[in-house]
Amino acid sequence: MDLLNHLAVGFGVATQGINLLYALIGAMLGTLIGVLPGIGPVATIAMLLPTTYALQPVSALIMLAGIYYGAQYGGSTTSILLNMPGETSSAVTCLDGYQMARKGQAGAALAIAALGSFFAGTISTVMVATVAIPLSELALKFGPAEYFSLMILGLIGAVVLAHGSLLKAIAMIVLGLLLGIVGTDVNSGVARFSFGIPELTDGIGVVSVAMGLFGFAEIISNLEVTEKRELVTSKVRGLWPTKAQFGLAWPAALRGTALGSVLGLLPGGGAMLASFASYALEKKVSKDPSQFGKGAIQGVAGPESANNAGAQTSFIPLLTLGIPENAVMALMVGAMTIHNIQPGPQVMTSNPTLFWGLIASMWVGNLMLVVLNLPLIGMWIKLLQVPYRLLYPAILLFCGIGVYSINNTSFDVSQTAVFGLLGVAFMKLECEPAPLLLGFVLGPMMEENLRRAMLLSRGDPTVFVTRPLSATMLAMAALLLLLIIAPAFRKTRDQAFAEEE
Amino acid sequence: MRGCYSYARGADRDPAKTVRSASDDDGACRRDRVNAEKTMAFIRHPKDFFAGLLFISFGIAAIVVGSNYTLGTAARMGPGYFPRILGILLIGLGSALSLRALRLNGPPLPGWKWRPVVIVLCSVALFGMIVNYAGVVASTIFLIVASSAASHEFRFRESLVAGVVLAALAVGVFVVGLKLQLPIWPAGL
Repeated sequence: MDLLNHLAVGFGVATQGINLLYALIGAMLGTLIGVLPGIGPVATIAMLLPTTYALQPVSALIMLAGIYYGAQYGGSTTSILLNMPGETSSAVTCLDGYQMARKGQAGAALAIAALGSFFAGTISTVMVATVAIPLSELALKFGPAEYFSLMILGLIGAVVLAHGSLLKAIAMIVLGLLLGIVGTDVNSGVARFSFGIPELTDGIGVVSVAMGLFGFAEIISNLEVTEKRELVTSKVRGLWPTKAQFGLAWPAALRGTALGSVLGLLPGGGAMLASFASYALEKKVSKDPSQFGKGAIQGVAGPESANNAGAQTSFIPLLTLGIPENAVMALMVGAMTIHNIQPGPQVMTSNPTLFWGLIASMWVGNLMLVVLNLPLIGMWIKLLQVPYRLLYPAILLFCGIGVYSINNTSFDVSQTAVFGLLGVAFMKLECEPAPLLLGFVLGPMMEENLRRAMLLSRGDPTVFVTRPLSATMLAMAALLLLLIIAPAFRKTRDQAFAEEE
Repeated sequence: MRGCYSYARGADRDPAKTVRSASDDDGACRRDRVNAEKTMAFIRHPKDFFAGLLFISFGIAAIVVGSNYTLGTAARMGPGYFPRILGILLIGLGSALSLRALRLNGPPLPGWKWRPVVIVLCSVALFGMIVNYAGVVASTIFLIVASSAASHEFRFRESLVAGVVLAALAVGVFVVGLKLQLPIWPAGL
């Protein structure tokens, strides 16, 4: 069977000593930043991107991917013990996980979270492998018009499924697209929006944008909050859940995995959406919904499985279509570009060892994570006791050295600081930075495909609606927009009615 | 205000109701407006309003700066074509956001704490400027001590110790381990 052969190749690559080492480093770092509140996977991957220059591309990608799913494991620990999300995708785990910890069941909650995540990781690795081939084949039939429409669909999807104001999110995408095309235009050689600064003719670095908007802005906003955090249990006893707890947890983990795998595929999806949706589902199917918020184990098992499944299947659009669907995947595009790999359907055929090696490494990494998280839990708890005032300067140092070393210029560091300022402003104005990063990465690709499609159609814009695949994707994008506008309209109308009465 | 507006539209389907609701509507909206005027002149949703202005200014900048680039035609787009589209879109979206902010009510702008913003960003930018001259050790100690001052729990001695430890770590990881091209000690030593 083809799939088995591919996976065999993949495991061959993933179990090479050097790749095992980088999977371990990635998983460790991911858990670390997942455990630590106030620094997310986007900032961490941005921080470490420059250091992967020297590595083999496959090792680099394995490590960076490990950070993302590792963060899903680590985030749950903080949620359960601290009632504070280590990651946004674990925010909902706080609700029941922390209550379990208060009842002295912290060990069981942690074990269920880790085992659920591992189960989800296994299933979704298989899913990535099976869906990848047909999707890549479909993508190979795409022309520039289809690609352009696909990107529109991806961007609209990312906005609709994210929270916050639709109008702002779309504006953020457009701003991202604009920032993305700064630099030398490939077709004409004109340096656009470089303001005579030589460093800008190469374009703005994705690391600077991500680190500034996510990393620096996060740190600054954390520093504005002066409250102290408290650990619920410094000692975790009895890691193993009871039989009854296990019986409640496994169907929830199964549902979470299924839901997360599907939501991870959608643009804008990924870990965060998956965990929230799963919690809502568990509450709905439960025989006794009143238990939720008081330490229901399903409320831990479902979302924790779902976020890991979502984190992994969100690699599918990137690996097969070349379209990133969330901020982390946007950075993965950056990582692939650094190593001269153009993300897209051709990766599977031109670079099969990298492709299958990365997929197989996800399962290997998940296995490592169970080991890291269960027996070593004490170590992670210790880490939570490091005060933030010592932590953030260290993070800034790693950021500073990382950005500087990309091109060995201080310009990049100052540029990152400017994006940090912009990031703080966005935060104050409640503008989500993730759509901007997506637009930023897609900007050059989108312009290129628009130009090519219009050139082929001799300037006729109807090409986007006359080609069936392209038209379908645009129709789906329009439908998504309508979906979000319609209920909002209904809701405000309902409010008006309520006011009248 | 949004509530008033959409209600009127929703009620269009029922003519008998429209008459009554329109008057109710006006009353409610007027009360709303009076309340809002007490707190803020005419910007009801400051977050959206200023976000809109930010987008508009980026859009204008794109068009003004981009006016030097050849537009080309739809079939053969020049370097100025796509930025122009984006600029127009940004101005449009920004205006919609700002105008809507005159009708929708929203929370006030949160205050800025300048201390963390200025200290964090400036210390990192300065670090980038001096690292090649002062070397990793000195600039790390500078960055750690300077950026620690952004916290309300700042302790000078503690940050100095942290700076020395992290400087050793940075040399070990980045210069020795990852072989980045960075001097360890100040130039000339």
